[in-house]
Parts: sequence; C-alpha cells; structure tokens
Amino acid sequence: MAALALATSLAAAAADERIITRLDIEQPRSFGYHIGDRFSRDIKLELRAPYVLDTKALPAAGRFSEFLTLDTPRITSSARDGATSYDIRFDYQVVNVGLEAASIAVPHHDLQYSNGQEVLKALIPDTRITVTPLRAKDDATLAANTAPAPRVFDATALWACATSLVLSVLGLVFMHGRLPSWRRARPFMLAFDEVRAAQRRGWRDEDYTAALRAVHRAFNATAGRTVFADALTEFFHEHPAYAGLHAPLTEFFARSRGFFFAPGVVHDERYSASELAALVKRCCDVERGLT
Amino acid sequence: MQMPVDSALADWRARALDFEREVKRAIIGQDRSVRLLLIALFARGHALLEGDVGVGKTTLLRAIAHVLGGNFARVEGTIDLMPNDLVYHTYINEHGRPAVDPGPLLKHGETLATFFFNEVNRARPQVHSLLLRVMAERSVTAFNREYYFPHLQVFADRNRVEKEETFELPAAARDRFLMELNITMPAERELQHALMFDTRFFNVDALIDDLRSGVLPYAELNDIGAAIQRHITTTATVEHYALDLCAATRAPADFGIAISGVDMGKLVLSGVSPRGMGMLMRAAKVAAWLEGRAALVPEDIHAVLNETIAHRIFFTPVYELRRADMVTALMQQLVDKVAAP
Repeated sequence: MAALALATSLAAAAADERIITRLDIEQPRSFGYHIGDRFSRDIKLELRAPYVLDTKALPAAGRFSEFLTLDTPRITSSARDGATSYDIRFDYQVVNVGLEAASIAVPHHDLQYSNGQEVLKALIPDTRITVTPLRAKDDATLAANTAPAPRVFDATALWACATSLVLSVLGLVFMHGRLPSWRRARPFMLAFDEVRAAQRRGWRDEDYTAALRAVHRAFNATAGRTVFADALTEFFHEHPAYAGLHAPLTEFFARSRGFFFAPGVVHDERYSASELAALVKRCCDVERGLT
Repeated sequence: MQMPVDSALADWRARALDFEREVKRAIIGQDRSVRLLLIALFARGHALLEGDVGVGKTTLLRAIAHVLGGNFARVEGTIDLMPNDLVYHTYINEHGRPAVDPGPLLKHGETLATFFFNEVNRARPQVHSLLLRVMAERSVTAFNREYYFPHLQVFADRNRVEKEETFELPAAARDRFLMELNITMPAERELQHALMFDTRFFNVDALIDDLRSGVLPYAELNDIGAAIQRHITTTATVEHYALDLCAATRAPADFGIAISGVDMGKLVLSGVSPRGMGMLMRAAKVAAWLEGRAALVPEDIHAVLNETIAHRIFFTPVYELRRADMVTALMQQLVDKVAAP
C-alpha cells in the first residue's frame, strides 16, 4: 500500500516539550481504499530520560471501529544521549464498507509515558480516509462473464429430459387413444370400442348392424367422404397404409353389402364378434402407424 | 357381383346388352351415354341430350331409334314451329284440293315408338306445353278425339352453345324427362383419330343404316320394364339412403354438405320432386338389372344419380347464374357426404 507521507509534528496537550524531543506522525493517504485493504500509521517518538513509553497502554489488537481492525502495534526502540527513540507502527485493515463511497475516521490514539511517578500522554490525532465499495454503479455496462458456469445444476439438460419424458408419455397415450378427445380422432379406435360394446350387448341383429355401421363410419371418417365398395381401390390409393389389408377389407365390404342391401341373395355371411373385432383391431394398428 | 335372376329377365338382359353393343358399333366414345339411354329405354322414361354442336347427339339418338326399331318420328325445333305442326299439316293435294294429313306425332298412331325432337329449345313455349303433355300422359287431343302412344319414348336434344332465339325449357317440362344427359366429345385421342380419319364415320346415314334394326321388340318394353321394377328388390337401408340423397338436394347443409363461398342455407330454391325421386329409383333398378343384380345397391343409384337428379334441382337466382359450377359441386358432395349404410 503506497502511503502518502504526511509528517506532522504535534505537541501533545499533556506533553512537555522538554520531555518529548520528537514526535513525527506519518498518516496514511486519505483516499483509494476498498474492503480488505491494509494501511499503516507510523509514529516516531523520542522521550528524554527518565521518561519511557508505556507499551502496555497501547491499544490492543482487534476491531478498532465500525470499519477497521488493528493489528498488534509493532514497536522498536533505541536509547542514545539520554533519550529513547520509539518507532511505532499501527497496521489497520478495512473490514467494512458501505454501498456508497464514504469518508471514515481513523480514530486517535494516546501514547502514554511516565517517569515512574508522573504519567503523561501524547495525542496521536485522528484522520479520515475515503473507502469505496467493490461494485459497479447500476448503469454501468458489465462485460460478459466468461467464466465457466458451475455444473452443480444444469437446468437446460433437466428441462430437455423432462420435456422428452412428457412427450413420450403423451405419445404413448395418443397411440393407445387413452384420452377421449384423441380417441375421437382415431375413427377405427372408436369403431373398435363400438364393436366391443355390441359384443357385450349380445351380438344380436341390431348389435351386428350397429357394429357394421360403426366400421363404415370409420372408413368414411378416414377417407373424408363416404366409402363405397366400388371405391375401395381409390381408398387404398389414397391411404396406402391400409393396402396390407386389401383382401380382408374387400371381404368386409362384400359381406356388409350382402347384409345391408341383398340379404339372402349375395354373400352375406356374418362376422362373429371376435372376427370383426380382430379386423378392426388391425385397422386400428394401421391407424396408429404400428404396421 | 352376379346374382341369379328370373330366366325371362336374364334373356331380356342379354338382348339389352346386345342392343348396347349394336349401338356402340356406330357410336364410339359415348359408352356411358349409350348405357344411360339403354336404362331410359327400360325405365320407360324420356331423355334430353345437351351438348356442344357436332358432338354426336343427333347421331346417337338416331342410332338408338334405328336399333330399337318401331315407328320413328322426328321434328326440328324452330322459332315458328307451332303445336299444330306436330299434330297435322295442311297442303294442296294433287287434285288441287286442300288436304289435311296427320303430323309427325299422329302419323304412326299407337305404334309410334320414338319421337325425336331436335333442337327442342328453339321451339316456342306453346310447343313445349304440348310436348309436356305428350311426355307425361303419352296422349294428345286432335280431330275431336284422344290419341294414345303407349310405347312412345321422347328423345330431345339441344345445343348449349347458342342461346339466342331460344326458349329455355320450363321446369315442369324438364322434370318430365327421366334423364338429362350431357354429351361431350370423346376425350381419348385414338377415338378422335377414328372420328377424323375413319371414313366409316363420314356418312352418318350409311353408318346408321348399317346397324341392325329391331333388336328389341319395342312393344314389349312396357311389360319388361314393369317386371324389372318388380324384380329388383330394395332393402330398408338402400331406401333410406335414396331418401337421404333426395332430402340432401333440398337441405344440403343438414347433411354436412358445404361448397366453398356458398351460403348453403340460401343455395337451393327447389330440390328433387316426388316425380324425380320415383324416376331415380326406376332408373337405378334398371341399372342394377343391367349389372346382373337382383338387389339394388348404392352404386346403382350413383350410376344414374347425376343424370336423373341434377336437372331437377333449382338454385336461388344469385346461384342459378353459376348453375354449372354449383350443380357439379353439389352432386359430388351428395355422393361424398350422404352415408350408406
């Protein structure tokens, strides 16, 4: 710490010039301090014999003010020509700084000396230094922090994982049509439900009729128009995923035609509930992109 | 799908298909129109042909009349044609005396099998009115008596290019036609090549004279037509479907039919009439019979739907101006949106 030399010779109020032949005080510079900075105050004192400095009366190390701490004073002394010279150094450290720059006091000290009978004091006067906080002003432009981010918690990766997990779950729910609104978007899945419901009702004539109609509705919804037996080729052309079911679906339309339009006249062999459910299930798989 | 049919009907079906093949010897590229006119013959309905000039409307009708056989009469629609011109004509005979002879309608009496009205829209409404009665009742009053034409079938044509000095057929007259066919030129290039370079098609008279005549005994068509209607069965499902189709012509929005840019609630002024509904079913049953079916299926209805229904739908004035576009879109949507079963 560069010190600003400030030599001051002061006569202590309680001192006698005939006793103190020298008192030089070098105060610290008065500005440019931040928290943690250290600075010193050097004092050169010369006392005529028989007066000596009472070192036990020097201030103790520790918290010295709201803003400063004081180390144990360092003292060296030498005697010559009936006088004793003392070099005293007080080392301070700034331990507290406000949010704004401020002038703080470095308090005074008393140097107590005696001849064994009389006790006198020399005053080391206080001084002020300016301390400033280690922070930018609010309107300052800060450079980007290029330091690597701590890897204790990677939020981006966590979000990515969570999103993937949610999408996977939603995909599974969608594929299996577990939500009613999504099930409505799966015509063959709805038809499958209706075939199973008709099966549970007993698979009577009206149940069989309802089941066949449900399957036709699924075809119509998938194609976006009514699908007739003679338009199946067009259906397979527009929905090639179902081409693998060409034979059973053609068979379905033939049986349906017999049942609805020419009972007892043309091919109207009925499906069993399990047969029709199995056929619609295969359509569901195509619809879900599983085949 | 082949089904067993009554042996008499099976025999008649073979003759009908023979008739169709014979007509196609002279008429190429019009297979669907030939089939539809064959359906009209056995459904005992009249047919109106419309199309551009020179696409073969008259040739087609002449070929049909020739192969069918029986007595045939023809009249050309002109602006000065009057109803009496169909019933009689007057002239000064070889003895210098005025004479009155039956017109084309009465000349053959009850044996008239085919009446061909060429350029029907050039005739005045008075003539349309007479034609309307002839088509509806197959009879006419003349010389203080009723003349009946039990085997009569009317074929009319009109070209759609010229609209000046023409009289649009009234809705009532159009409704009496079983079918209204749109005749277009063959799209296939090889057929156009044949019509252009095959000299056989240059002489229409010779082309038609080369066809066999009397392939079908026209006097029996009424009976066989009735037998077909009795023989072809319909289930509740297909009847429901046919009713829905007709209902959709009256209230298309109720069946989810939508045409871009059209207020469907204000589109239709009048849908298919009860007479039209009956004619649709008659034609569809004949279509089923010709396909060898004993039961009606939706595809049989589709086979005749456009030609038996479209001309019976009338749009509100703002949309009638765009009739061609509107009717095409509506007919397609009828098939697409009305479900069966």
